[in-house]
Amino acid sequence: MRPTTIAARQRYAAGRLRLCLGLAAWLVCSPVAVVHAGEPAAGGHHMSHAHHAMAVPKDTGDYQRTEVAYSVPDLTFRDRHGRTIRVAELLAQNRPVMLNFIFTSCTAICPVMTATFAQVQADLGDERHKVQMVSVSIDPEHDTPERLTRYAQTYKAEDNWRFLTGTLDDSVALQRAFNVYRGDKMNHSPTAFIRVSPRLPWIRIDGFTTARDLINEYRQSQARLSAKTH
Amino acid sequence: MKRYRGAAATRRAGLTAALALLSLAMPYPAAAGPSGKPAISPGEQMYRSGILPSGRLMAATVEHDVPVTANQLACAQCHRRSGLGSSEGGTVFPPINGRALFAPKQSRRAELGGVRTPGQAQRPAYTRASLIRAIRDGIDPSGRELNRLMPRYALNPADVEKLVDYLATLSTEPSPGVTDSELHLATIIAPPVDAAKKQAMLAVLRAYVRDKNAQTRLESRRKRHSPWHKEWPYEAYRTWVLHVWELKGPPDSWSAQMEAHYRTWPVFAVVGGLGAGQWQPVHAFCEQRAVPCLFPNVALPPDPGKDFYTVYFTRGLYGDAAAVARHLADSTARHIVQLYPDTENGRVLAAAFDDALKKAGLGPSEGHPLAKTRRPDKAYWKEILRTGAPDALVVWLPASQVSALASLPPSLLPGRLYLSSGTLEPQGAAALPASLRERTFLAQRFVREQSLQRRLRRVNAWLRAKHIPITAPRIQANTFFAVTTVTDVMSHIRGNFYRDYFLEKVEHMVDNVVWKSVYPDMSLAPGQRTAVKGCYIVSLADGRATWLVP
Repeated sequence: MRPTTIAARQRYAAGRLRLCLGLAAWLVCSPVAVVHAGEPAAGGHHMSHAHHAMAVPKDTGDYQRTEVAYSVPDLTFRDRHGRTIRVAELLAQNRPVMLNFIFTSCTAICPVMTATFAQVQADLGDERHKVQMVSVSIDPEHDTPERLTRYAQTYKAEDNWRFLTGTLDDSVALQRAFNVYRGDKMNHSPTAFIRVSPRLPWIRIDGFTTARDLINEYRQSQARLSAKTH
Repeated sequence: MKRYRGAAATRRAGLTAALALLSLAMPYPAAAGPSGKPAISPGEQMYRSGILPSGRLMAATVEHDVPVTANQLACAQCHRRSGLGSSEGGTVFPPINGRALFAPKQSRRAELGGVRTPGQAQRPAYTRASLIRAIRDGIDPSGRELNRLMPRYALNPADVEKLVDYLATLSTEPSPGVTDSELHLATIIAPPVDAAKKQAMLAVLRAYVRDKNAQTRLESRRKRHSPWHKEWPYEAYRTWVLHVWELKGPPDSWSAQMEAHYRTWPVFAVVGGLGAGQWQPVHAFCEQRAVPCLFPNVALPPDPGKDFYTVYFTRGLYGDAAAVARHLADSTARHIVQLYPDTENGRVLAAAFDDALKKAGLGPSEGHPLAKTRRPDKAYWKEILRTGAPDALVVWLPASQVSALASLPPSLLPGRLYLSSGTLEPQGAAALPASLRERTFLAQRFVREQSLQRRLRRVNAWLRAKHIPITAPRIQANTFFAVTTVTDVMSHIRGNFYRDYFLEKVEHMVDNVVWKSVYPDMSLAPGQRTAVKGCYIVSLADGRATWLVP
């Protein structure tokens, strides 16, 4: 939450400025800087944001954005209703897809990632029905359809948000396909994927984001897509 | 009570000095009573489950714009029940127990020669006021903003005071079972006892403790002359003392026996153990006394549900029952007959199988209890199968009890015969006549024979080096796994001798323990208390194994 009083805002901005000065120094020798520098201008938002980050308190996450074309293996999962889902088909639909990898007994990272998806779902309003959200379990033997159902209810997930479980091998194969397999579920890191059309590469977002970050990425990608088609 | 002390001389110095020091940081006495679990205070309820004294959920905001309720993010989610914190991927959640919060946090890196400007690693001690500001507004006592992952909790003044009261008492005193020179562990053996298995298991534990104490006996001396990064592990060194709690008589008398052992000498944790029948009383004792119980070898583990203190390898025979039911649900079999020993355990198992069938969408089985005095001969089987050959016959008995079935005419034989490796001993499936093997499926939780031998190679080499006869290889491997896990975890928690923290580290580390148990794909996570979720169904006709997670 951003501070509301003027004094608090000033303190906040000062804190941010200190942080940004430190960050600027750090970016010089950081691998993250390489990624930002190497990004196409169309990558837009986050990079341009970095340009004026020195002056303005930012309320976006410190995330790293890349565009990658992944090839999705033909694997079969089950959703929380026990229905069989072919994941390659699910992800190749001709509509926007947001994807992440979670497990229900994760105490730290996943609740934040899932709450962020839930907030995106809420902030999208009626548009949420057009977006396919997908959360794949990286602990599939524990995350049975019943557990996924309870988890989905906790976060008020609607029908457009699929939770997938399957065999351990298939979950690992899908994690590898999206380069998020970290050997051990307790070592996994926050990553989200957005693709507004199967004609575009995936936008890979590493790090914690606000709900607004994800929606901005989604909207900008949509704008680029419609500029391309018109 | 038998105690085993290993080779090193053990000193019995008390906790007094350490406790006196710790109590300075503990303004509120921890509420605990010998009669059972302490009542949960309002602050503890907020901390653990995010429920306010009013019964409503705490509300908060993370990441600037993501509202959460505390069933999603209560304090204990990230900082864990012990308050000692956790990490996941590159994200670290710092300790917030009383000792950590009300003391300044300093970087010790300078001692390695590095120069460090004050950063996130350092802050002054919290006061009650600055802690309240951190919880509500996300500002630390040096005025810095906390990480955006830390929820900013909307709490009224009365409620936040209660939470701070609880944090001040959280993990301030080491758990019982640790003195400044000894770590006390128990192993529990519950009847019915197989003397050979008991000896096999105890031999592993005793040899391991003896060797460990011999190897580490000088560490307490070394710590006096070490740089800090060595001082930490050396400080945590304790002589291990193993207690063997062998229970006698009926299960309803075990609780009093365990209490008596515990009163004589409380233990920090229970490691390994044997339970061929009931285990519920042991489970309940560990839960009530808040004693971690790691990896007992049990036939009928109670459903851990949301219980915290016992960690099981598998779901035992219940897991077999669930896997068989799931396997049947994937087939066309609908007329299902089960045969079980007419004992309390047999009846419990039979009922669990019927439950599993129901969960898998099938009707209940036709159940037949087999009296202890009755040996199933040809006449017995004819009687059981008089209504015609069932689609499936499920037998919770040793293979020798089934062999007479082979003498029936083929038209009477069941379409499928299901057996469980958990009830097949002593001979295993080898005792089964060939005419039955071709229709038999075996529920088995440990890895298949070929890979089992590979898996056990290291532990068997260790057993031979210690001159321990390999008489119960699976139990010995599992026991070795359990005790090496304790070693790994103790080396991670170092001097933080809190049982809850110990279990949190077990949750974190089991996936990566180098030594192997006899089970595949062991995995835990916060709140998970059964490491192996599935079960093989092995077809004896063609040797194919299917891994089923019911």
